Amino acid sequence: MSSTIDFAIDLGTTNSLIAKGQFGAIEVYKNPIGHKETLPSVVGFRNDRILIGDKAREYVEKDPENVFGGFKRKMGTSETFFVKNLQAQRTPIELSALVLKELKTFVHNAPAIPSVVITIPASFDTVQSNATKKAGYEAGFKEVVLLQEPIAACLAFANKTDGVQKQGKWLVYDLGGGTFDVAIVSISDAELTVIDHKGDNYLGGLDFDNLLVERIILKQLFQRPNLTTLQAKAASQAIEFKRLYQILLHKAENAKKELSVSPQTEVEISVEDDAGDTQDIFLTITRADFNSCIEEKALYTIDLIHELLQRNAIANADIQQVVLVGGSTYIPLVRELIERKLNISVNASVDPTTAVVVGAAQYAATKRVEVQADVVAPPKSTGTAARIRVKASYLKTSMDTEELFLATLEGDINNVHYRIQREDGGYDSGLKKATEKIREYLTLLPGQLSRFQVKFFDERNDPVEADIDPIEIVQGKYNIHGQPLPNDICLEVDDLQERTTKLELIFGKNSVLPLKKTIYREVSKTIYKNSKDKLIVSILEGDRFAFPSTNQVIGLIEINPEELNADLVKGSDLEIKLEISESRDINVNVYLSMTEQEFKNVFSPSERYVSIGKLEEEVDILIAKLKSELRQNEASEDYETAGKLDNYLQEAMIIRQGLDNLSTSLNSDEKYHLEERKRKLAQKYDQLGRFRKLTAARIEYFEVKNRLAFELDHSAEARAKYESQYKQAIESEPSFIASESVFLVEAKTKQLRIILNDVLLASTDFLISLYYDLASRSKDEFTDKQKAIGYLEQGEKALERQNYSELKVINLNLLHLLPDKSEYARLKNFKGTGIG
Amino acid sequence: MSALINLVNQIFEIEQKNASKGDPADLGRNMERLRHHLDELGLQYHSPLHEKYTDTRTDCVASIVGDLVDASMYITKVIKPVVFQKDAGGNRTIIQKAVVIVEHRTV
Repeated sequence: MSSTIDFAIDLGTTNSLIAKGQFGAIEVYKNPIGHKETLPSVVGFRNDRILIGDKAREYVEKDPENVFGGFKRKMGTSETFFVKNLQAQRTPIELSALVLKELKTFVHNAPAIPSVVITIPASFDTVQSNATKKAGYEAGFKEVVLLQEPIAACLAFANKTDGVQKQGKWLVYDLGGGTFDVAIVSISDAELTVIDHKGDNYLGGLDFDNLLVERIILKQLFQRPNLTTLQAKAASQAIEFKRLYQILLHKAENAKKELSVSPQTEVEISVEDDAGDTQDIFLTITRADFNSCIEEKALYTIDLIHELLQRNAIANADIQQVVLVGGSTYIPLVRELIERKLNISVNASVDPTTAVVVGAAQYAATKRVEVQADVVAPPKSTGTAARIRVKASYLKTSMDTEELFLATLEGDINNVHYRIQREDGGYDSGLKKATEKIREYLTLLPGQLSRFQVKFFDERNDPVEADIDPIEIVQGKYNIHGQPLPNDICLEVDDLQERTTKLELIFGKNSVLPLKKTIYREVSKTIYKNSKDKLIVSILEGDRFAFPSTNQVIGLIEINPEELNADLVKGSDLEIKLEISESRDINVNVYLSMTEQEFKNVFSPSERYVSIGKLEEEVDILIAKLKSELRQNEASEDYETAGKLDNYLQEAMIIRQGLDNLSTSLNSDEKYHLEERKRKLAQKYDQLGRFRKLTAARIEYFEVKNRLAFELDHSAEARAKYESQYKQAIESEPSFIASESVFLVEAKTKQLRIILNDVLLASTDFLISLYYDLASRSKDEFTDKQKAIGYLEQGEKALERQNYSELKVINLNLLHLLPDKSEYARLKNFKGTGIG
Repeated sequence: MSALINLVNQIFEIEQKNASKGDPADLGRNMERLRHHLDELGLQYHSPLHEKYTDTRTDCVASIVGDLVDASMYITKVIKPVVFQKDAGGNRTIIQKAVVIVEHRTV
């Protein structure tokens, strides 16, 4: 456990924050379900729930008998708050304690917080200070150290700012959401002391938002001739106007923020005109407009500073700087007025919304703990009895939007509260008192799994051990109307580099029908209106990891060039919408965004679709592959495999011949027969040595990966430049290595090889050795002997001059003169599908 | 991330406006495509318009207009949508709460 307090809380009138300081770093914690650092200091007792923070704030005006804010102002008084729902009184200390307890739940990386620094306004007297301490103890802290807010803010600035004299007097100007405070702090190397302070508990950013709505936005709307009824609705406070006012407040808040960085902004408002039509109105608001409506309030804060300085007989020149605290100090006018009217420099180097808690956490990080914490219970392990035993009962699947959760609790539940939260942050039961039987309606995420955590807390809001697993409920999925797909459904797309096609999964095997998906691709080649190229949308059923030609075509749309409104340019967008009904009808809709044309067709699963041009190309690719692999097997003396491949090749040749003779064939079913033969042959070829090919691809992947990792380990420059690309390439390694897809592993290897080549080409040693390797080859190996000789002569000179960037270019030129020996290179006129 | 969320808010606003005017410029296809690309970035958004509003909804920041009648509060206007981020496992987390107007509805 740390020997210093470390934790600090800014218990504000409007908002509160919690932070931790340790080893020179400050972490301001975020609300786990609110994604922001501030927690509104508002508590609500809504029916049997206790709501704290944002949710409670929503009800503060509508349910004032049960929801309370601003109770910090009442600390140390005998005033209490009567809660109608509880028929009981709550003191400001109790309400503050609830806020403090809630802030404890923000801390995710500490088992318990025994000690804390809590900030208090400079105006707090001893009674108010003691009341704050009491709230801290009620919240479960063993030790509470108080720190004045202006002092905390000065600490944050003093630790951040260099070059500012840290002696003399600073002015802390704190303009928050709802309150304004100003304090003079005396700074010396040894001590920070608040000399005097002044403030207004009812002035802040919310006032500015209201002014912007009333004096600028509504004023402009009321001047419009076709909005006369709006003014009448405003006068009568009609519900439509109240709704509009809330919307305008949000718009004003955004406009205010934008005007802090831009000289003008535009506000767009949808409003109903006198005829009952919705009008979109754009209002331009300048910073000057905004300044004119808030200037009076801002000047009032300056007046308060003058009074404060006069009261203490301090001249403006005696103040070294004004440090800015509170979100409203982002407003440029506020900063300008301070500088202009007071002639004192302004320091805004620390985030004004967190300055107080940051300074307090810096203090906490140096303040030694005086009280020992309770020993924290070890995490629950199997066989250890939990304090609360829970028997939970709920449906694991539901078609409703809400599901009832019931539980019976056993064990010591005195002063225990429970809370249920959905893991995505969209549901929170609030704190509820634990009883023997609990029931809660849980709101479910539509169409998916909702996971809820049930947590129990003691009177200090520290977690209580309970044997309950997370609640998991699936909504809208259990009732399977359709059947699962027996095979993968894929789209065939081009792999231009390999001059072949590949499969892109649309729906996986066992997906439940009906299914619907839109795929966005690009056209992979320009299709001219007067050409013979086609765009082929081929939907296949089979194994996603196999070659496309092994799969069955279940939907095919061929778009002929003469059907196009204009040439279809490579790179233009293509939208393919695919729907499969429960009865397996396939609805394909192809939209070409460039020509704005739509092609659609419905395919029945009982029919077969064959494109002769495509079939010819598939057979050609198959022949090329078989030839290539046959040569490799003969070279490695694997005659058994070579024999099988030879048989397959003969079969493929026969199919090709059949296709050539198709135009003269009298049998109209011949093309179906040839397609069937091709598919069976492709399946046999795919199965032959598939495991061996996969293993070889995986080995090659790891060889390239290890080589690249080695190069990155040995060159800081390469690491800085290529490490992120490398990490990105290997990110999903477990899934693609475990996949059955040779293609997928090969594609990843290719990606790594490109990075490796870039790394190597940046290395002088590699460039030299590559050059010598190329120079040692027979000149006849190059496709253009004379060019190669010329490059080699230039290479010698570049080596002599040690000009390695020139040598790199020469190496690349020589490499381009080496012939592509792959079998696919011979498929020069690869047509493909036209889908990239 | 905040720039991306702002982008989502703008797309949502265009979508709302377009829908209210009956999609005169046939933007529906483009809107659907934008949603698709956001999804690729792991972002999804949802408008809770007309949904029931209760104390336990922490996916919304509400301004309550008119009378508060607990059992029949509904979302009548959505100023910003709920924005979710998906992780690699497909689990969603809310990264922006919806900003909504809530009213009592008798029907």
